[in-house]
Amino acid sequence: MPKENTTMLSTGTKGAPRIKEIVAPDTAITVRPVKLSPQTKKVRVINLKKQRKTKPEQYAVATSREFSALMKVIEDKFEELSNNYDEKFKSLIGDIKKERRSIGRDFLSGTAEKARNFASQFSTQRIKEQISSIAMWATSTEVDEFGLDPIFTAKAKPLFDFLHDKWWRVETIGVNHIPSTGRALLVSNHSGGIPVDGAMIVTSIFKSHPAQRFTRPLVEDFAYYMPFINSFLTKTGSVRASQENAERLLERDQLVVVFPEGLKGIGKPFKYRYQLQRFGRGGYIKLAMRTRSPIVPVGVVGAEEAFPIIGRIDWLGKLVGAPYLPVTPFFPWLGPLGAIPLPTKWYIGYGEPVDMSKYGPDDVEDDILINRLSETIRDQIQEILKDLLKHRKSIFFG
Amino acid sequence: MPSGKQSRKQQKKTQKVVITGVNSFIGSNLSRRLANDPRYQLVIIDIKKPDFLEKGVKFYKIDITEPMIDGVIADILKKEAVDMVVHLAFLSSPIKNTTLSHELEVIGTLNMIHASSAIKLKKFILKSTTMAYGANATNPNFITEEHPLRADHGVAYLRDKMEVEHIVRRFSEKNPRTVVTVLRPCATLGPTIRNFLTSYLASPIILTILGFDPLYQFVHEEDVIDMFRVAVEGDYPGAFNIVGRGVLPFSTVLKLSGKIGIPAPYPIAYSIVSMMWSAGLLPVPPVFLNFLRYSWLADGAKAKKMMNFESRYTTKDTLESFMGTQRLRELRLVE
Repeated sequence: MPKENTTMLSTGTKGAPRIKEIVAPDTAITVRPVKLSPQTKKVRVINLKKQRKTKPEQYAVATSREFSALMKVIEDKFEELSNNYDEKFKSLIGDIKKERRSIGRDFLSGTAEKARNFASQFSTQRIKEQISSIAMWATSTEVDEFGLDPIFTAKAKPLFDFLHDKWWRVETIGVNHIPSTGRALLVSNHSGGIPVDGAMIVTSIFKSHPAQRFTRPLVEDFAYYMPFINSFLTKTGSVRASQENAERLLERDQLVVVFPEGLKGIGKPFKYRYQLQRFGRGGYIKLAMRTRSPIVPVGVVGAEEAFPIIGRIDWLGKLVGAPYLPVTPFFPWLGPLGAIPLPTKWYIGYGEPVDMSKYGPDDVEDDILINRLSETIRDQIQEILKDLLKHRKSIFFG
Repeated sequence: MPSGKQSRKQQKKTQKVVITGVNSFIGSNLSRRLANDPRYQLVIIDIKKPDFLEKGVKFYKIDITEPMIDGVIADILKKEAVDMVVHLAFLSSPIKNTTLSHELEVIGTLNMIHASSAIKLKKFILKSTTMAYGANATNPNFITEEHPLRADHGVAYLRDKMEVEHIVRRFSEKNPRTVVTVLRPCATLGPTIRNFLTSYLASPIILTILGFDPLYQFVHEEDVIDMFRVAVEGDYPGAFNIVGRGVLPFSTVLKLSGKIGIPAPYPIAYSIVSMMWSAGLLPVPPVFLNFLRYSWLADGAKAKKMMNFESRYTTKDTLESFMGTQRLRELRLVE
């Protein structure tokens, strides 16, 4: 019904005597003559023809549709002009060449060549292209609904590849547990003062999974709204951690990785390394139930030693919008250099997916069940961590 | 929702529509369209006579903020046997006279609601805005209509909008027979609309917040008018967001429109804007800077599902349509 209405509106099929009024754009818009270049005369003449004496109060009468119709005409005219401009310029250069040959003097040729090259840069089309290419560096004109910028991500990929391949030499185990199609919720441990484990999980799945799937990490509020970090995170595909966002992603059959430990995981002292903290309030279990998505437990080993936390300063962190400032053997003593994470050897293990399809949205209210399931997942991740740690001989060489 | 037969029957009879705020952007466009439609008979209640007045359109010069005016409006509604009220008498930009804005938005709505309660009204359509959700760090990326309105109470403009919604919601609870439609357009741009956002985006140098780059969505003015038209024609109780498809980061918005963004740290930007607002140089108070820090995107899925309405323009198309006119304005080719 409404669809019909909108089409009817746009064609304007009713009220025959009034159509004239709607179509005539000249009643409302004054077009002033402007001296730009000889070519713009065309625009001016066309519009002046249409222009009649109008009363000033008729400005308000212009409806948006009339205006849009006129806008399109003018825009097309401009397009035509700017296209013609280059051709005119070429023909002009051709004329100059001919003339030069006929005179037979070429001592000016070097200068003329330079001048011509210089002048050709001022062709409107080329200037537009150059300016836009500088301004739009590493920026797409279209992003997905959560702000993932494909061009920016492609530019940032070498950095992640370097960290993944060279710096931490990430080894991926059991990546085949991740489904090739459809939704899945990855649940991982969270560690390291600077939480880059999310980025490494994304890179490892993209690189080693046969389907090259892209995973969307959910980020804590404090990081999501930290100055500068927020736009980097959004453009590279991170999403603010909230039930609504996660549901929306999973309903679109995406891979989502969550860190139920949250801040407790990344801020824990070094002596508690690889000991899982409390898993929130089981929000991720409810999420999996509501969206009927399988849960894949993930264990990351190596991130704890990359940034070993021996203390934390809360008040200093508050200044930059973080909940605390981590203190490591090198940071903040060595300044920004100390913030570089150590090149430890990383292992990322993916466990067998836990089927959640037998639970429905009704089970969301069952707190005891949710707690039990959450504890099961937690145990599985702890098992993965134990196995990986047993497998590892050396912190830095694997 | 009525079945197809019923709605066709209703369409045969002419419906009387009261429009307030007819000199606003939506008011002028919607009333022109309805005046050209034989199915509707227009009754205009406004403080100022509109520039156009077609045949068969009745005009009552009434200030809806006056005390005791609700009885007068009720008499008019009764006399004219009105079916529908489209309440559009709102401000499109914040003003410094907060008393006036409160009188116009809240008391005006209250008077219209009182008058509407006095008769058996079929439909009440209200114009709100997605700004009423507020720009909060804890917003989900896409705010649905069920989400509470959590705009900053310290800003008169936003507080009034939330209060108006509250008044209308109470009215719809008390009068279950009346179809109450609340339409919440997001940031509206287009060739002819003028509001604080268009004047903000029209200046060549634009103040942004250092280190923040929220996602933005725009809806085209034509889509907003069409949505109001759809709401007038069918019965759709509840609140609906009107949004354009797709989102763009604010930095990309500036780049696409060829503007230069001047980033300032939030505290500095806050003091600059508050000084300029007090001096009357800026159309918005400093709290509006939150709309440049946090996302306040709305979800248009409900309108698509219930009204079968989807905006024709994407966010990018809308921006291009606005900026195209803006360029012509700068060249003084159009006014």
